[in-house]
Order: sequence, then C-alpha cells, then structure tokens
Amino acid sequence: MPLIFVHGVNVRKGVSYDDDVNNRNALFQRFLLKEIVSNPQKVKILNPYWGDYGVKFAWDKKSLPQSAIEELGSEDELPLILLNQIQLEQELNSETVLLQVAKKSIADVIDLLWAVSAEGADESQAEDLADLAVRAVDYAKHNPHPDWLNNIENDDQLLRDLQEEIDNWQPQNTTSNAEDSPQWEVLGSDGNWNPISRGASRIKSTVVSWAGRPITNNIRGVLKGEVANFIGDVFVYLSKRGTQDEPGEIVKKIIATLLEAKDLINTEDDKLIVVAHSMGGNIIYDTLTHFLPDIEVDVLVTVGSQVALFEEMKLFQVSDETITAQSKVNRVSKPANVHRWINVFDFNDFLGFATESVFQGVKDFEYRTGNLLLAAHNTYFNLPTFHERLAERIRDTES
Amino acid sequence: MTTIFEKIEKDKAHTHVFIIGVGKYPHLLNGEGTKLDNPMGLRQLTSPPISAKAFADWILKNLYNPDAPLGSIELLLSPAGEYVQPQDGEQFPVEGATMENIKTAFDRWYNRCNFHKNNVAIFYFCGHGLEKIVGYPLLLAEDFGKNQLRLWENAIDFNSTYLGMARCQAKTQCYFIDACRQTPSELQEIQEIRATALVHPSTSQKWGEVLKLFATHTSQKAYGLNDQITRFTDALINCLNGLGSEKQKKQWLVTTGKLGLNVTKILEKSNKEPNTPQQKPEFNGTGIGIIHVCSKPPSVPVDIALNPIEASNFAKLSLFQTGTCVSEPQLDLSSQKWKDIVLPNVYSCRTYFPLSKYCNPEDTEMWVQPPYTEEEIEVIKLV
Repeated sequence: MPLIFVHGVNVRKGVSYDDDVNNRNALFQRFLLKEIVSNPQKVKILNPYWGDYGVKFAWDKKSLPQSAIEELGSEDELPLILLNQIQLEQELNSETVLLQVAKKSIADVIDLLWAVSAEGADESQAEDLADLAVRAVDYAKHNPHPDWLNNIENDDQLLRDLQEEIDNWQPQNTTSNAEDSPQWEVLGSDGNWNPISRGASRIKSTVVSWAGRPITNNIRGVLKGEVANFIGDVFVYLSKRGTQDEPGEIVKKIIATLLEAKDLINTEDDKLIVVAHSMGGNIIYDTLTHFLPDIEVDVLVTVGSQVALFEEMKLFQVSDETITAQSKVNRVSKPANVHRWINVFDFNDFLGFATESVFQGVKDFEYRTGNLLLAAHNTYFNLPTFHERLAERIRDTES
Repeated sequence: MTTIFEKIEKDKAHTHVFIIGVGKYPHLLNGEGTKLDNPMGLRQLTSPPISAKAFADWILKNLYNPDAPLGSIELLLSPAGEYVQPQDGEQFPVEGATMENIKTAFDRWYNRCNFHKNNVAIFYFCGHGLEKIVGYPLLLAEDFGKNQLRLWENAIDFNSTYLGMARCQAKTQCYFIDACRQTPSELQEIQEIRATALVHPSTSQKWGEVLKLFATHTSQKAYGLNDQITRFTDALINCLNGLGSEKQKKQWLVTTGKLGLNVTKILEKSNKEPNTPQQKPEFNGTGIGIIHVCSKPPSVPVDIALNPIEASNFAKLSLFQTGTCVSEPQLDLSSQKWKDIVLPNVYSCRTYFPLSKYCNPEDTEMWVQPPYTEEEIEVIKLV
C-alpha cells in the first residue's frame, strides 16, 4: 500500500530537504499509517518533488524590503521561529529556555526539540527519533504539567529527567512486545537521544547569539518571503498546469507518482493514501478531478491547504461557476474517486482554510496549537504532536 | 572482601585474575544517587555483573595452566552482593566497583602479578565505556559522576594503566575490555580528560606476551541482552572453553596470539543472526603466551550450505573419516543450513539425494578447525 505526500509551496531541495523527508516518513509510519494498516513498515511512501518547477524570482526577491528578508535562510531561523511561536513571556535565557517552554507545556518542548533535532538527522536517526516521539507524545498527553519540573534548575537537568521519564514511559494504548523481542542494552551511551541533545545545543546557541535582539522583528520577514513564494508558486501552477492532453511539468510529476502508486497496489494492500500540504492540496485536487479522474484514492488528507478558497474563486479545471452558496445545490461534491477526505487546518495558519462550507463529504478538523507560523515554515510535519492528532482524527472518522 | 580465591605457592608462577563488573551507576540515568546534570545518555545496566560472575565462574571451574595455575581472583561487582563459588557453594561478600575499591583491589592484584616473571595477569572489565581520543578508552567505575567538579576521577584511564603494566613482571598479560568505545557529543566539547591511571607508566617498557582484546572497535558500541551475559563475554568464554584454542604439541592451547582472532570470528558470525546488533571486537595479541590448556579437543560447530539452497530439502548429509561415517549433520529449517558439532579433523562430506532430484558426484573434503567451519557444497540439479 502506498502513501503519497504532495508538498506545498516554498519547498526546494537543499540541505534540509532529505532530513525533512526522512523525518516525515518515519513519523507517518509511527502515527498515521498505524491507524490504517497492520504493517506500516511495509508501506511505500512516495514524495513527488515539484519544487524545481515552482516559482523562480528573477531578482531573487529584491522587491521585498531587504531588512525584512535578511534573516531568511539563516541557520538560526528554525529555533527562533519556533521559540517565537511558543510566545514565552519571560526574556530568553540560554540555560533555561527549554525549561521555560516545558513549564508552559511539555508537548510544546517536545515539538520544539523534535522539530529542531530532525534537521541533520539521517534516515536511521529519523527512525529512532520517530520511535522516541511515540512515547514522548503519549507521555505529554498524560502528563501535560508534571510535578518533577518544579525540581529542575536548568536545561541539562530538564533533558536528563525528560529522557528518564520518556524512556520509562509505556504508551498506554499500546501493548508491550518487550517479551517477544530481545532487549539489548548498550555498555556506553546508546545515542538514541544524541539528536535531541544536538537539537537542544542548537537552541541554546541560537538564544546566546540572539541575546538582546527582539525575535518578533524576524517574523515579519519570514511572513513576507513566504507570501511571495506562495503567490509565486500559485501563479506558476495556474499558468503552467496545462491540459489533459498536454499536462504541465508539475501535474506530470504528480500523475507519474499516482500511476507508480497504483502499480504498487495489490489485493493484499489495496489502499492508496494521499497527504497533501498547502498548495499540494490544490494540485492533487486538480489532478484527481481533471487530469487523472480514474484513479481511486482511499484517504485524502489535506493539511493547511486552500482547496476551498480556490474553489470559491473557481480556479480548478472542474470548477462549476453555477455552484455557489446561493445555488440550489450549494456545495460541491467530494470527488467521486476519493473515498474519504479529511481537511486539517489551524486558525493561526494564514494559509490554511476550512472546506466543509464549500465541499460536501469532507470532514474538517482544526489543529489548535496556538502557533503562528506552522505553515510558513513547513514545520507541521516535523511536529510529533501534529502526527499524533492527525492519527487521532483518522481514528475518529473510522469509528 | 574482594579476594574470592587465593592459593599461592611460594616461588611458583601463577595466574592472577582481576574481574570488574559494573551495572549500578548511582549518578547516571535512573540512578539512585545525586545524578549528573548531563549523564551523556548513560543508563543503569544489568548484563555486566552477570557477565563478570560468569567469567569468574569459568576461571574457578575450568582454568588450567600447569605452568601458572590459578593463584588468585579479585572480584568487584556493582551492585555489590554475594558471590557463590560454583564448585562448593561457598559464599563471598563482594564489594562494589567504586574507584576506591578498584584501586585497593588493583594494588593487591598488581603486587601478586609482579611477584614472579612467569606469572599470567588477567584483567577483565565489563561496564560503561567511553572514548574521547582514539585508542584511549575510559572505563567508568560505579561512582562515576559522584563529584561534578572532578567528573573523571572515577573513570579508569585504560591506556595509561596498560602502559603502566609494562612495569609489572608478569610475562603474560591479558586485558579483556567489555565496554563501548563511543564518543557522545558532550565528550567532544570537553578539551581535556584526566581519568585515573591505576598504575602510572614509567620508563621501563618490558613486554612479554600480551593480549589486549576490546569488545568493540573505537567509536563503536558493545551490547548485552538485559539480565543476560554480554555478547563479548559469551564469545570469550566459548573461546576459552576451546573454540579459541589451537593444537600445539598434542595439546589444545588458548594463547595470547590466537584468542583475540577467534573471539572476533565468533562475534562476526553471530552478527548475522536476526535482531542482533553489529559488534566487531578489536584485538592486539602477540606471542604464544599460554592462558589455558584445554582438557580435551574442542567441539567445533559446522555449518554446511548447499548450492542451490533448494536442494537442502531433498538431501541427506554424512561426515566420513577413513571410510567410516562418524556423524550426520541435521538440517536447520530457519537457515536452511546443515549443522553439526564435531571434533577438529579432516572429514569427507557425502551428500545423498534419495529422490534423485540433485546429485553430488564427489565427496567434499572439509577441514574442521575452531572456532567454527562453514562450507558450501555445489550440487547438480537432475533434469
């Protein structure tokens, strides 16, 4: 059974692209796929990359005020943005920044640590991180404000005790298979938490280097850059998507992946799952309704996407101008070849929209994080709690 | 008390053994004491005290070296507890492997080893290990991290200790280090580590027959199953039992020159088993210093694979010596290999196919030698 992930805007192959794919794949297998198939490890995850066909800026975004974008691409960007999202009230202290976050919410500190640690993690480390994430998320769910935090004085102690707590935590909805599989112990540092330790060091260094400067100034630049990329990718897609006979490069890439996935389906594993983020949702909707309407998709998950907004503007190839809020049939039917469609959005994600008012047969779920820029930085899929909640939503729609 | 065995005859050479097994670390993760702020991912362990006891058991029950009979065993275990002699059930209280106890026991062991030039000195450590600089392992005592201001005072600087042992008269020396040699990221940030040398090196550098055998290569991990003997110690004991021996003058001898190679071979073979983490020992062994004289020839495992593998289901195998069938290997269904355990020798392996689906016109000659023998026999499919 294959899963296709269609990425959103502003995804370009660079240093962290492979890390993001590894991390996302591992988290899909530990959370979402566990709800759908019995053996998630056997699921082939396909990641069609269309970033090369996205917008290219002839002046490298010189039209944006330079002060606003000078921080884009900086190594410090991710920890800073994430820290800003958490909206700490106190001034950041490099020795206790994680403790500050943890006291607000253990789930937040886990998301922060895992998202930062995912960068630079190879495939095997991503697998280890995802395994740890399963226990970490469950621990946070059952212990949002644990008492032991009151005895912690610094981030080193926080990481030490968090490791102990999570290592010793047995997820409550899983059965232990400890008796079935051998439990190896390592006569030294087992290294499972090394990526987390490195992530914590990176956060610490960022806070040290950013001392005295307001974080919020940085956010405006990221926002402007993100909006420019979004508008650019949208225009490029709409103007170059082509026709059924001659599809554009982006559509061709998605069609090829869908056909590859179709070939992988067999009687034993007969499901096809598509997860699409942001602009990826619009591209897959257009593809499934117009360019390749014969392919059957069992579960479509759109995350932080604008499918309903595009339909309101009648931008899809199959958009019917006569269907509006005022027409007799006042909602568009879910594509016939999509059996289940779940749309996840966050009120604080300025690029994510609800769909139920426009489409019939779709289930909207709100992912309430209080975070401001999840979509802006594509961090949705690096956050363990997001994957856990997505899996919950799938479970809810099945029950 | 840490001396669990002492029997020394005046003016005679002996084998003196120092065994340390550390599983309890109060200052590391899940420890019972005041924990280090940053314990570098080091947890409590269960396999080292079990492994150390198993090694002590083997020494007491089996070690035989007419030129240097067993003279003494120093044993330290964490958690501290009782050691029950495998032969007569006598119980000994055993002290914990704190640095203070290690130093005291080491001094006793060193002095005994140093008493006669033909002595055999055996040092065994099983517990947490780290390595900041290649070739400089740090072995952690139970009370590692007791003082955050002097973090490394309760870690053994193995390399300095080893170099210091050049001062010791004992001609044959063996060091078995069952510990990881990884460098946690936290260690990389520390400029200089000054751990404790149990004996300081001097200008005297007289080496005899020496074997340094590490459970793993530099920057790699060593493993044990929870509540079981570690992979390395298990292989080490199997080799001491004979799989690490070679025949010399009609005797099967475990020597400083052969033991390391055969322990490595055994662990590399078991690396292929499912759900087994990869572990490759490193050794540096010289000479033919005798550690143990086997009481009988070793029983050597033999694996025979047929090519093509499908032929295995139709075959019947026999091992012959001078025309007589001496053994019949059995098919292991999971690996599809034919397995047997036989004495070291030259065998002719005959492959029959009762249903005549395949044939093997000629017997295959097999040289069975410790630590194990693997053979692949090509057979012909009959149309």
